[in-house]
Amino acid sequence: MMIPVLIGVSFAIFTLMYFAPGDPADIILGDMATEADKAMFRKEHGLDAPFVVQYFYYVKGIVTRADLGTSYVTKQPVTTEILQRFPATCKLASLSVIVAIITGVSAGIVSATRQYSLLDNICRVVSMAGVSMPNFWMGMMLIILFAVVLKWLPPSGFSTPRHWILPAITIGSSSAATIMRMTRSSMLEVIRQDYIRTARARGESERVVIWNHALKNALIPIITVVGLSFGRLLGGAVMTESIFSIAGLGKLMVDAIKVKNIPMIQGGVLFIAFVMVLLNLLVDVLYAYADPRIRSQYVRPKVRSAPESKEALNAE
Amino acid sequence: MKKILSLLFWAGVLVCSFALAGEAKGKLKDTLVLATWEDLATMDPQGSSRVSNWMVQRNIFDTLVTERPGGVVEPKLAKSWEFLDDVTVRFYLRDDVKFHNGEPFTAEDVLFTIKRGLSNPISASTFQFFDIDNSKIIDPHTVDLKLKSPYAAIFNTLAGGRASIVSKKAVEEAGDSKFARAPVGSGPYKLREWVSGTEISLVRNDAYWGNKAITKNVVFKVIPEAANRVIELETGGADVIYEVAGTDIDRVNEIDGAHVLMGDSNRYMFITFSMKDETLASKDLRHALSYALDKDAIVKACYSGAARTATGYYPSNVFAFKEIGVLPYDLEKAKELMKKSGHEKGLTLNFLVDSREMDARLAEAIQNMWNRIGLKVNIFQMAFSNYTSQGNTIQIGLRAGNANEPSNILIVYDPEFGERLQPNDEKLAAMLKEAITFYDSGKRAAAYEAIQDYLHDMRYSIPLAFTPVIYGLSDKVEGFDCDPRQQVDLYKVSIYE
Repeated sequence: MMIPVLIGVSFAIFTLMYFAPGDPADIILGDMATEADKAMFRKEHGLDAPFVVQYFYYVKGIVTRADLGTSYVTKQPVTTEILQRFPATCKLASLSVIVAIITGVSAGIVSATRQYSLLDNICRVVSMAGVSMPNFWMGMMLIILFAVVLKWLPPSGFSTPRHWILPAITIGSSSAATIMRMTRSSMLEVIRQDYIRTARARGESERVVIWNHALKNALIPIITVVGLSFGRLLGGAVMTESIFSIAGLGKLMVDAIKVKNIPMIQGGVLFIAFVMVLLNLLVDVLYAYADPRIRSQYVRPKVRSAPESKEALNAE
Repeated sequence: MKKILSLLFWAGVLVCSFALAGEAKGKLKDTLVLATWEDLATMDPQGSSRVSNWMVQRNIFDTLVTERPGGVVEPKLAKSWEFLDDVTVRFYLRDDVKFHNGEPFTAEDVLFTIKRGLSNPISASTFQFFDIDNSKIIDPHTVDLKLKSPYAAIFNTLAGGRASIVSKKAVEEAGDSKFARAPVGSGPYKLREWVSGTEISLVRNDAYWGNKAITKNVVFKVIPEAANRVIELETGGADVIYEVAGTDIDRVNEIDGAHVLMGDSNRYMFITFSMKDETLASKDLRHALSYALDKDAIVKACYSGAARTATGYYPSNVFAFKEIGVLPYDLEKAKELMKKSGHEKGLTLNFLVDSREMDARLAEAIQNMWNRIGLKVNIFQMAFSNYTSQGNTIQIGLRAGNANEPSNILIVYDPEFGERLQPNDEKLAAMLKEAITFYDSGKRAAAYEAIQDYLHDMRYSIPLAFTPVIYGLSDKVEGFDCDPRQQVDLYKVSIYE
């Protein structure tokens, strides 16, 4: 499935960029350039060739040399530039997702097990605020409080663990809210199931009931939400990156779009598509770990297959 | 007794002044941190087109000559020079200069640098007057540069960032693309590390031929948000911040231990009219449009005090600037001229602006004022990428420029150049062509003054604002020049504990 998706994405983005108005020569060289300069620029970057030829060379470069082209602005290979920026984005995404999972899942469990209690109401209000609060505003407030007033943490940059805290909390808090709400509703549904009552009737401790029976069964939608938000963050959290001056993929893409740096835009979009595809694969594998019903899909049944389980699979 | 008392008094004064001086100065710090607004696209001088690039490169590379505001040329890598004829300049080069890679600087590097500039579309037009094929090396430290025709801006070009001398050997060994990330120049600082998008650190070149840098390490932090740069200054994360927003000036001055450094720049904001447009071909109409605008009010409202109303057709600190004064605002006269040009029933014009916040604000203010003389103005906003490429198909535009040489600033009125204004005025073109050939500064100044008068009469553009450069500085920083082009010589800058 991966290859057709990537080919489709590459064709779509290449066509869009080709037909979008605005000549890169004008934009990169500025309005002080002469016609001769522009012709020189177009020739240098192969922009004078017809569409199909340009696309063919582009795909050929990717397939044979993993070459996404050369950035118009920096004259560096696009692949190098993306890989330079990716670690920061990846680190930020992972840290925020960790923050989000820890706070979101635990708050969700607490809310679900003590439905309509004071704690549940507080969690729900906070998560509502978390979802509705714009990321950049939250980031700025955190900077003002922790960097300017209290002087505990640095206001920008991403070099040391001290620098990671504020951005991770900024992004983490909004995903945490989504995860919390998903955990809560999913848990509530599971907790009403018969097997939970059975487990309690067997005299198992509340902890075992919640962790082993309820949470495990409520996990699938949570994994989906986590996977989605992680994928979204890997594409670059542009706002947060600008506020904290983090040199990530989002910032790179926005800068490229501003000056119509075509190879950079194409390369970035393709790269993000590639990461998303990989991530979806990973999420599918995680499903199998979390849910034996899905795992059985991939394992050849040793005994005869029961007809009703097949139906269940189709429903999946 | 009196004598002893006065002696004691003076001794006391002396001690106090020493103590005060000691407190104010303190120990020198070895690292200077500057917060800039964008990462460098490249460190290849001949491949650079942005102020941010030259800001750093100026400290890594040297040029043959330097030019101070007002056009005073001083020697740098060239000890002296002489004109052999109108199109040949002989440069005598320093023989004690070494590049960062240890290679000696010679005449070959000079020719190589110019040739390199000519073959890169980003700087080719800058060097178009140089006749590289007929330029020749006399000996390793003497070079004759030939020009295609007399070119009075030669020193401005050679002092500019694009003419930073690169080491021929280093470029050939590394190749263009690697050189752009690991530059080899002969300047007072060397590149130590460049973390893409985050920071650039420089270290002192201890083998520098001239005055060695006072501060050993220089770090440029990339902080794109203006408000965050102020926070960095406030929290001590940066000693100098570039591009303070007009709205942040008071905030910076309120910070304990920091202040604002503000001065004239080479930046200017103009309204431009398409010279080929049939409606705007009417001179009366163009004058009417000019009279209808209260420039002072527009600048005051849009720039919140961080700019002054333009008083001429190019930045006031550029050679031969003619002070015309703020262009008058007279609604009655504007209406009268509208009638005279046959548009008393009203008119619709198209106005294209970049999507930058400032341009949009200006355009709206202008639109409102033009409404009062019965003009309907359609504003089109476009992202920068589309704006530059379509600017010449729309009647009215805004142009933000940044240059310090009259011939470069006025090139937009030259038909051969054919851009934003769609120029077609042959008389103006001939004047421009002639002005550039005068080496004599008196003659040259007279030529440019005549051109400015002509522009004022024709009104192909309306000068709006001169925007200053605004830096935020820690009080502990010394020797930081308020350079109009933001290309500050950092070797002179010191910072105290």
